[in-house]
Amino acid sequence: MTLALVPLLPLAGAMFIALAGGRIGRKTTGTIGTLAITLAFGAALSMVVSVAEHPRLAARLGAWLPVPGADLSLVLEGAGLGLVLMVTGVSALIGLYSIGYLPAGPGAQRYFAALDLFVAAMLLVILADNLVLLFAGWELVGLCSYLLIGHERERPAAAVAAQKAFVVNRVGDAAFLVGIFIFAATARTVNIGDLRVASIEHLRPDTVTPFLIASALLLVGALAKSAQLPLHVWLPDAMEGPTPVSALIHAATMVTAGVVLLIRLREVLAPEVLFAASVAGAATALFAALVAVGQRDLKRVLAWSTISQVGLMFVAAGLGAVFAALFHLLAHAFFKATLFLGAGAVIHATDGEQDLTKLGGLGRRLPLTAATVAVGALGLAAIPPASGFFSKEAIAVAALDQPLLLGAVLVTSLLSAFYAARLYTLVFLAPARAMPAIHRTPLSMAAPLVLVATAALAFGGLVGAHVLPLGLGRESEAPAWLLAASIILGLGGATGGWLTYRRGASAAGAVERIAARAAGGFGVDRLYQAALVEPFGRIARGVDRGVEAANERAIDGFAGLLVRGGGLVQRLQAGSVRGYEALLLTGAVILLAFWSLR
Amino acid sequence: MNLPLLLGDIRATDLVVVPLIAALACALLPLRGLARAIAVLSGVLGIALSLALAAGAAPAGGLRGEEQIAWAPALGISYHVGADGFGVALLALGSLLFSVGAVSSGSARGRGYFALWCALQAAVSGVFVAQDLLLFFVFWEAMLLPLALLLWQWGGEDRRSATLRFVLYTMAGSALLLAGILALGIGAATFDIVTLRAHRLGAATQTGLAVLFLAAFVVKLPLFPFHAWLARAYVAAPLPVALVLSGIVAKTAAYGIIRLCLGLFPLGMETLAPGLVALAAIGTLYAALLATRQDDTRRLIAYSSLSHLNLIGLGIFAGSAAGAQGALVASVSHGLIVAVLFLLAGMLATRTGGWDLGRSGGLAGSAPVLAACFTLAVVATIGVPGTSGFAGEFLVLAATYARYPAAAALATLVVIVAAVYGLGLLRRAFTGVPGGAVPDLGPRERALVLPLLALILVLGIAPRVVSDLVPGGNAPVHAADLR
Amino acid sequence: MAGAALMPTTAYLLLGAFLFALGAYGVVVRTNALAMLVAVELMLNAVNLTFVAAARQFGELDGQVIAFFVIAVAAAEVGVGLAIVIDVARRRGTVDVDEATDLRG
Repeated sequence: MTLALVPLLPLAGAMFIALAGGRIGRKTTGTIGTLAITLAFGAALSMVVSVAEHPRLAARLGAWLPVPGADLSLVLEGAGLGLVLMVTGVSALIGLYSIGYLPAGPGAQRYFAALDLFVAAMLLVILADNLVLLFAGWELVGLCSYLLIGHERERPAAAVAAQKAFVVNRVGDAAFLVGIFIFAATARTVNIGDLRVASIEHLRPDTVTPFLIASALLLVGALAKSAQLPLHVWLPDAMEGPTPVSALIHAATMVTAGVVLLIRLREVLAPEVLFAASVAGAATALFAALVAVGQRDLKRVLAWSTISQVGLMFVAAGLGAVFAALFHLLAHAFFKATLFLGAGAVIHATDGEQDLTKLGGLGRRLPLTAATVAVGALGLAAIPPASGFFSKEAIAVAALDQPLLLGAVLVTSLLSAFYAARLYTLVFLAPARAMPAIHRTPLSMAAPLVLVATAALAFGGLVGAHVLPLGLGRESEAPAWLLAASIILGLGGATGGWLTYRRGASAAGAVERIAARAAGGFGVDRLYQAALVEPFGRIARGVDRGVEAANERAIDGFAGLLVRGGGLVQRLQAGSVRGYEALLLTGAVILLAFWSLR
Repeated sequence: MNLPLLLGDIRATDLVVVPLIAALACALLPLRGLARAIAVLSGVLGIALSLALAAGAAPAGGLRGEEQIAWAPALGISYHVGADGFGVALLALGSLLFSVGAVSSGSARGRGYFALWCALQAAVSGVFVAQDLLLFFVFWEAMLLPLALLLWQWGGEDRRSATLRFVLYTMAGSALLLAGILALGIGAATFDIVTLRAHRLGAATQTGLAVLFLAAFVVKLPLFPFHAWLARAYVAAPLPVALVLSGIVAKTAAYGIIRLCLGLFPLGMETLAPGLVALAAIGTLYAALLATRQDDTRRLIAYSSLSHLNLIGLGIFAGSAAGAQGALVASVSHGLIVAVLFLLAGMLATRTGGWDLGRSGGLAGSAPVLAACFTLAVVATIGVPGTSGFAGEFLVLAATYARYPAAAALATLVVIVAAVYGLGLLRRAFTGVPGGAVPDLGPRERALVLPLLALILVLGIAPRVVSDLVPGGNAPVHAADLR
Repeated sequence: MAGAALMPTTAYLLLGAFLFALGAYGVVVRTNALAMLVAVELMLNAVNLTFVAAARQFGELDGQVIAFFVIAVAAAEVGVGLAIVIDVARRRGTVDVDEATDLRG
C-alpha cells in the first residue's frame, strides 16, 4: 500500500491547503505543501528494496468508472520508480525554493495547492494501470499548468498564456480520448497490461488497424503535452508563470509526460507511430534549437531549449531506446531544474530583469548562482562530466542506424552548446550593465539550487559508470568516434558561443542579427492565429448570427403563425348564443348523417 | 438506513404527494413568511424519500416503491407508479435542486410563487414515477403550467414573449405525444408501461410511434435544432427557475426517451438512431461554439447547458445500455454543475450589478473564494477528470463510440471548444486589473455552493454510486430485450 | 290494457323527432331568452318521449329511469336559466339574446 501513498500524499496536501490554506500563513502553507511531496518521495524511497525483489508492484484503491479496466489502480513497473523519485525529489526542491521566491500575499494557498495537485497528477501518469486513470492524471497536469501559469491573475498576459496552454493541450487531449475509445471498443479493456497482450493480436504490419489509428491519436496527445511540433506553441508563452512553475513544468511534471506515455505504452502502440514520434522529435529538436539561439528573454531561451531536449527524448523513445529516453529525461530534469532555479535566482536578484541584453557581469555578484547555472549549462551543452553528456550520448547511440535522425541529434547538440554558452556568457561573463541593487538569494532558494545542481552534476556520471541502475538494460555502448565527435561538437559550440557573446549581445554583430530572425519561432504562432484561431472566431460568429438567428426566427414565425391561426378561430367566437346553437345543430346533423349513411 | 423503518414502507407516490401537500399549504395557509421554509422542507423530504428508495435493492421487476390502483380498467388505465433506476436517481437530483432553488429564491417572493414551485416539484416527480402512459402525460403537462406561470409572473424583461414561445413550442410537441400515447394505448388496450414493454410492435409502427413520442421529448430536452426557446427562456426566467428548468426539467425528457422511446420502441429507435445521433453530436459542438460568443453569463451557461444536454441525448440515442448509463451519470452531473453555475453567476451578478461579462474583471483579488468556486465549477463543466463532468462525458462518448464512431469522434471535439468558453469566462470575470473591490462570498452563500461542489467531486471519484443503479453493456437495447 | 291495440313505436319516435326539430328550430330563430328556454324544454321532452317509447318497446325500465333524470335536471336547468334571464332583464332591460354578446372572443 506504500505505492498508493505516493500519489495520495501530495493529493492530500493539495486538499488540505485548498481547504485550510487561507488561515495559515505563506510559510506554513509552503512548508506543508513541500512536506507532502517530500513524504511521497520518502514513500517512494522506501520501496527501493521491494522493487528490487518484485519488478511489478500493484495497488488497487477501488472501482471507478463502469468501463472494463477503468479502476482506481496503480502499478509500478520497469523504470517507474526512477521517474517517481525524480518527480517527487525535484518537485520537493522546487516547493522549498518557492517558499522563498513567492512574494508575500494571499496567493500562496492557490500556488501550493496547485503545486501538490500537479505532482499528484504527474505521479498518476507514471503509475496508473489503465489508460483512463492515466488520462485523468494527464488532464489534471494540464489543469494545474493552467492554474500555475495564470497564477499572477492581475496580469492579462498571464491569463491569456494560461488559457492558451490549456486549450492547446486540450487539442491533444481530445485526440487522446478518441484513442482511448478505440482501444476500449476494440480490445474491451483499458488496462495497459491487457492492452499489451491485445496489441499482439490487433497490430498487423502494413495494415491500418484500429490500434494503429488509436496509436496515432495517442501520439497527438503526447505531442501536445510535450510541446512538440506542431503543437509546441503553448510552452514559450507559459513563461508568464512564476519561474519555479516553469522549472516544475519543464523539469519534473509536465512536458516529459509525453515521453513517459511513449515509454509506458511502447508495447501497445504501433511501430509505425513510434517511428513517427522519433521523426517528429528530431524535427522539433532541430527547429527549437534554432529558435532558442535567437531568444532575448532569459526564460524563453530555456523554454525553447526544453522543447528541443524533449524532442531528443522522443527520438530515443520512438526508436525503442527506453534506457536512453529515460536517462535523458532524468538528466534533463536535473539540469533544467538547475537552470530554471538559477534563472529564478537571477530574476529575483535583479527585480525581475529577464532581458539577456540588459543583464551581464553577474558572475562576481552572484557567485553561487553563477556556479550552479554553469553546471546546468554544461548539462545542456552536453559537455562532460555533466549528466547531459552521458544521456545525449545514449540517444546518439540509439540513432546510429538512422543517419538522418543521428544527424539531427548531433546538429541539435552543437546548437544547444552554442546557445547554452550564449546564455551563460550574456548573464554572467559579459560586461556588467548598470544594475539596480542586487538582492541576496535567501537560503530557502539557495539550498535547493545547490542540491539540484549537485544531482545534475553527479547523476549522469553515476548512471554512465553503471553505479545507478535505471531498472532497464542499456542498449549499447558508444563507439569511440561518436564519443569524440560529441565532445568536439559540445566544446566547439560552447566556445563559439562564448567567443561571439563575451563582449555582450550588441558586439555579437551578424550572428545576433541572423539569430534574431529565428526568434519568432518561424511564424508558426502567427500562422495558427491566422489559420485556426481567427477562422474559429469567424465560424462561431457565423453560426451565431446565421444559423442560430435563423433558428430563432423560425420559432418566432411558428409562434406568429399560431397567434394568427388563433385570430381566425376567434371570429367564430362571436358571442351570439343563437350562432353557437346553429353551429352545434349543424355539427350534430353532419355527424348523424355520417353515421347513418356509412 | 433506518429511514424506511421510521416512515413505514416508502412508496413512490409519496414523492408526488409530499410536494403536492406543500403546494396546497403554501397556497391556502396564511403563512406568508413560512412559504419558503415549506418549499425547502418539501425538497429536503423529497431527497430523504428518494434516497431511502434508492438505498434498498431493486425488487424483482425493477420498480421501487411500486403501487398500482385500478382507475379505468375497461380502458386499461391505472394509477401505476414506481421508480426504476433512472427514475430514482433523477428523483434524488430533482429534490436536491428544488430545495436548493427554494433556498436561493428570495424569501420576499409570495406564497403564490412557492405554491407553484412545489406544484412543479410534484409534477416533475410524477413524471419520474408514472408507469401508466396517461398518468405520465398528465404529469408531463402538469409541469408546463407552473413553469409557464413562474416565468410569466416573476421573470425578467423579455418574460412574456419568452414564455409564449416556450409554451407554444412545448405544447406542439406534447400534442404529438398525446396522439402517440392514444394510438399506442388504444391499439394495445392498455396504457400500462410495464405491460406495454412486453408488447412487440412491428418495426414500422415502432418508428412512427417513436417519432410522435420524440416530438415532445426533443423539444423539452432540447435536441439541436429544436432549442430555439432555450436561451431566451433561461435569460428571462428567475434564477431559481432557470436552475430547475435546466437542471431537472430537461432531464424529464431524457428520462422519457429512455423509459418510453427506448423501452417501448427499441426497433424504431434503432431505425431513427443514425439521424438522432448525428443531430446530438452536431448539437453538442454547435452549442459549445455559440457559448464562446456570449457576453451574458446566463446565455453562456444556457448554451453550455445545451451542449451538455445534447451530449446526454447522444448517449441515449446510441441505443446501448452503457449509453443510457452514461447519460444518467451525465444527467446527474450536469444537474449539479448547472445549479452551481447559476448560483455563482447570480452571486457574481449581484456584485457587479449585471450579467454582462464586460462589467466584471479582476474580481479574483477581492473575492478569492468566489473565484475559486467558479473555477471549480467551470473545471467540472469542461469535464476535467476528478469531477463528475468527466465521468458523464467519458461514459457517454465511450459508449457512443462503440456503436457510432464518427459521431462520437465529432462530439469529442467539444472538449476543446468547452475549454475555450469555460476558461474565457474565468479570464474575463476574474483576471486582469481589478476595477473595484467586491465582497467575497458570505457564509450563507458558501453553505449553498460548497456542498454542491463537494458532491461534484465525490461523484467524480465514485460515479458508480449512480451508474450502478442501472445496467450497463454495449449491446443494443433491443438485443438485450429480445433475449 | 290487454288486447288494446297499441300504437307502433315508430309513431312515438316520429313524434319525438318532430318535437325535437321544432324545439331546435325555436332555439335558433327566436331571440327572446324565455322563448328559447321553452324551446329547449320542448327538445328535452322530445327526448323523454323517445326514451319512454324505447323502454316500452324493449320491456326494460332503463329508459323510464333516464326520463325521470331528465325531468329532474330540466327542472334545475329552468331554475338556473330563469334566474339568469331575470338578472339579464334587470341589467339590460331586455331579454333579447342578440343584445348579449359580451363573451365575444
